[in-house]
Formats: sequence, C-alpha cells, structure tokens
Amino acid sequence: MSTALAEASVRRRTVNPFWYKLKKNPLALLGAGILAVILLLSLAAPLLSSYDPTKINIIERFAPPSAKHWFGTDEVGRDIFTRILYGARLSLGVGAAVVLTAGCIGTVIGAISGYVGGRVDQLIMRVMDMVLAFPSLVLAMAVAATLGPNLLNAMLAIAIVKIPVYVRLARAETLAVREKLFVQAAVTFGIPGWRIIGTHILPNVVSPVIIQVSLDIGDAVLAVATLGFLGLGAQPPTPEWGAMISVGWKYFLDYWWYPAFPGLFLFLASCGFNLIGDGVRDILDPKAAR
Amino acid sequence: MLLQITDLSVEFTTMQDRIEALHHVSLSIDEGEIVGIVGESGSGKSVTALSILGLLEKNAVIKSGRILYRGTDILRLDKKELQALRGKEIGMVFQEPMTALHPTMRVGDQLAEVIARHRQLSRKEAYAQAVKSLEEVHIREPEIVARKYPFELSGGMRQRVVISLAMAAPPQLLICDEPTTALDVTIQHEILKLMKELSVKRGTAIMLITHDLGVVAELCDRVAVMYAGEIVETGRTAEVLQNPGHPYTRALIGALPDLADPAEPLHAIGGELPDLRSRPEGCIFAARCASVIPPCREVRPQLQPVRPDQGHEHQVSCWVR
Ligand SMILES: Nc1ncnc2c1ncn2[C@@H]1O[C@H](COP(=O)(O)OP(=O)(O)O)[C@@H](O)[C@H]1O
Ligand SMILES: [Mg+2]
Repeated sequence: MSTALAEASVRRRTVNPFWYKLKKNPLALLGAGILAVILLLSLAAPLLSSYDPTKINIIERFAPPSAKHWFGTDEVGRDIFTRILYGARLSLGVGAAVVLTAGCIGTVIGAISGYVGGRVDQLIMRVMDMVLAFPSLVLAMAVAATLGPNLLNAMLAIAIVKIPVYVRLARAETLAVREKLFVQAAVTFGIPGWRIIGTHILPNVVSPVIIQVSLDIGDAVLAVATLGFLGLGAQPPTPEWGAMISVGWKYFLDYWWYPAFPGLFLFLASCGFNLIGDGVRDILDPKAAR
Repeated sequence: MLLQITDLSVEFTTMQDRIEALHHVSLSIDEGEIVGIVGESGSGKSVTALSILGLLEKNAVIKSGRILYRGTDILRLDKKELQALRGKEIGMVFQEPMTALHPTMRVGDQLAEVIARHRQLSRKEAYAQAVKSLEEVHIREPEIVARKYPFELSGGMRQRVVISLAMAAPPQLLICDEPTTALDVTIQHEILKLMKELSVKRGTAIMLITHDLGVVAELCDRVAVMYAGEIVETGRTAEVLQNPGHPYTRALIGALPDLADPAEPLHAIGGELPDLRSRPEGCIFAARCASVIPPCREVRPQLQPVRPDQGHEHQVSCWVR
C-alpha cells in the first residue's frame, strides 16, 4: 500500500500531464516537427548555402531549379532557397517578437485594468472593444499604411491589433486572482497596489497568456507575410516571404518557382503553427475539441 | 482611546435585497488592550473588521457612524491615506493561513518585502530582520524556514508567519479574524499564547474575533458579544463571564462545558439568525430567546449598564433583568 503510494507520487512528479498528452497527439507532433525542421534549416542557413541572400547576380537571373540553385533564382539572380532560409529567420522571429510584445503590453494593461477597476477599467475596456470591433487585418493595414510601409511599422500594426486579446485575457484572470485571500492579505500588510500587481497578480495570470501567445504566433507570421505581400511590410530586397511572393507573383506564369517556393514554406509554417495550436487547445479543453 | 467605533451601520446591496449586516455598532479599544468580539457565524464580526481597514466589498454602504483611529475618522480617509494606515498602524490576521500567503514566494522574501517597506531598510537588512522576526514568533530554525514556500509549512507555522507579517511594522492595532479556527486545538493554544506575548512585548492592541468564548476567556481583557449585527453585551471579560446579562451570552457560555455554571443546564441555542433584510421592531434576539417578556417583541432594548452603581463598563441590551 505504502509503496504503491510512494510510487504514485514519484510518477506524478516525473510525468508532466501536459507533455504526456501532447505526445499522444500525432498531428500536434507533426506540426512541431515541421516547424523544427524549418527552424533548423534557417539557423543552419550559412552552412547549407554559400550564397548571399541579397547579392545580385544578373547573369543567373530566372535560373530554374537545378542542383546549383535548388529552388531556382529570382529576377536579379539571387538564390531563392537561400532567401527562403534567411526569410524564415525573419518571418518566424518577427512573428514571435510581435506576439510576445503584444502579450507583455496587453497583460500589463489587463492586470492594471482588472486590479484598479472602476473608471480606469471601463475606459481601457472601451478602447479595447473599439480595436476589436475592426477586422484585424483591415486595421493592421490601415495602421501600417498610416505609419508608412516598412517592417517595423508592420510589426507595430500587428501588435496593436493583437493587444486587446491579451488585455481581456489578463483582465479576466486578474479579477479572479484579486479575490484570493493572499492578495487581500497583502493589502492589509501595507503593500502598495502597483507592487501587488507586479508580484501577486502578474505571476499568476501569465500561464493562460503564454498559451495564447503560442496559439497566436502562427497568425502573426501569416499577418506579417500578408502585409509584406501587400507592400505594407518588409520592402525588397529584404528576404521576407510575403514580399518575395508579392514580387514573384508577377512572374508566376513564366517562372513558376519564384513565388511557389516561398509560398510553400509559408504554407508549411502556417500549418505547423495551426496543428500545434489545435493540439494545445485540445489538451487544455478536451470538450471544445472540434 | 486607540480605536473608537461609534454607531456604525453597514448595509450590503445584493441582486434583490438590502442586508443590514451591522446595526448601530459602538465599540472601543484602548492602547495595548485585547478586546474580543464573539458571536456565531454570520453575526457581522468580519464585516466590522473589514470596515476598519476599508476593505469592504463594493456592494457595501456605510449607512451611519464613525471609526476614529487616534482621533481621525478612518471612513473619511482617501485611498492613499488608508493605504498608509494598513500594516503600519493597523494589521490584520485572517482565518485561513493556508491561503493568506503568496503561494510562489519564499516566506523570508515575503517578510523582507513588508519589513523593508515599513522600517525603511535595504532588502538585505530587511531579510536579516525577517529571519529574526520568524524567531520571535517561535519558529525553530528560522534561517531554513525563511527559504521555504508556504506549501512546505504546516498550518500552525503558516499562521505564525502571517502573524509576523501583520506585526512587521509593528502596528498599534492588530485585528485577528478567527486566527485559530482553522488550526488543531493544541496549536490553537500556542498561537493564542504567542499573540498575547507579542501584544505585551510590543504594546500592540488586539481585536480578537472569534465564535468561541473559550478563546475570549483565555486572552481578552474585554469582550463584546455580537448578535445579528448588533452588540448585545459588553464588559470586562471576567465580569461578563461570571455575571452574563444577556440570554445570548448565557447561551454561549452554556455551550462551554468547562466554564458553565454547574447549576445552569447545558443547552444548545435553538433556531437561526434572523433575516437581516428586515429587522424586527423589538429585540433582535426575541425570536430565539427562552425568557421573552411582552416588551421584548415591541420595543428595541438599548445597551444599558448592568449595575449602574458599579460603573458603566458592563452593559447589556435586554429587557429581562
Ligand atoms: N459582500 C457581501 N454581500 C452581501 N452580504 C454580505 C457580504 N459580506 C457579508 N455579508 C453578510 O453580512 C452578514 C455578516 O457577515 P460576517 O461579518 O462575515 O459574519 P461573521 O460574524 O461570521 O464574520 C452575513 O449575513 C453575511 O451574509
Ligand atoms: Mg467571519
């Protein structure tokens, strides 16, 4: 009896149910695998390719896929495979950075809103509702167009669109944590409000935020590429997937490989993120599955 | 006078009803004094405590009264002034030591944070003081305990930590809301002893809220008996226990076998607390009282000295003498 108990407690300590369930979800694993490959390829880009992603070589323009240029070359002779690998760093990195920024800012705003309450809370939530009322891509386009078309402004635009989601999430969580006795007790010990938000509230609202962040990175990668495609994001010659597809699109009928390969990678990455996202959602809320 | 509550009435608004949780409550605490508030669950003890610290929920309205702390009315302070009072002047210990501590912060760090704030020390000095203050609440091996998380400690240990947190400043007044109710009987006694010791050593007054007259008998200089949001009897502890004036006090004493007058039959209090949505015209306790007389149901009794010739301290609100 006692050994069985001891065994059970050991097992509980060693197996994290989250990872256990994730391992049992083959689609999520597939998604993780795809992303891992893309990530590794992009990190190993200097080893896998001897080309410079931005160096122009007019003589070799529009070379079809071959042993020399696996995915062919573009209109100024740059190696598309190389550009895709470096582009992966950019797209994935920018996607993650945008969502993390939005997550941090949104969480802080949401925690303040929920903890302070009253009119501050109402004002903040009205503004967030307004942002949420717009279709997010349209709003991001409007912001990016207003600020001027470059990668940084595109990131900013997507972050702004994403912030309200995190504000709502963190606020809801904060309202629950605020009622806990240890927060009330902290007030009676004389700890000031800003400090309570920092040490008592924030650490206890981050876990749902982290999950939301992991679900949103795929969205953000796609949004960055979309703005790039529309000419509102990264500008040529930056090797960004959306911008590459945007230019390559014009040559599709004659040189199919130019937009096709960046498009394929964007598609794969997007699938990868979505499969993981679905897996995470299934694990956290089995009832909502499909 | 350290704290003086006069004529305090508090009303809660819920979806359908208004509940008058406190009805013209008056109570005072002297410097260094230990005053008990005793009454069954739901009689308004916690609401009294939370009013003092300005921690009532948003659906509460103060209908009347003042709470003077050293002459200033707490109810008129703004948020900032109130915040300056909390912990520094008035501390609080809650019933649930299990959940009153930050779950993912080491005990020593929690203490150091509060100590640094109140005594204007650096973090490092504050930590040394934190270890010292754990020793003062009789925690053995304070250096080791300081590095533990709350879940690693027993209930009694946690309550000691909470007490040292509440006493960090140290405050002039410590409000303890059922501080030992969640603990084992043997540990209860130790915690009460500790509170008494700290009170004497630091000159801190204590407002001790409990449903257990035994606890009051053990610790308190004075006691106020509360029923359905009203104080029905108050006086020196010994006086009230030996010579209870209110049938409710007698019933509470009757529920304590070791303190009960052997001549009095031991009986549980029948019935339940009245509906606080509408208070009766007469005595609030009449519906449950064994010795009602005609005026009880018609005219509300006021707190009156039990024996005016022997001073005004022992007061009771009851028509039956
Ligand atoms: N936030 C609230 N909303 C409505 N009623 C409340 C609220 N807080 C307390 N009450 C009511 O006030 C009365 C006194 O409660 P309380 O002071 O907690 O009693 P206790 O003496 O057990 O500490 C109870 O009837 C309770 O239902
Ligand atoms: Mg209570």
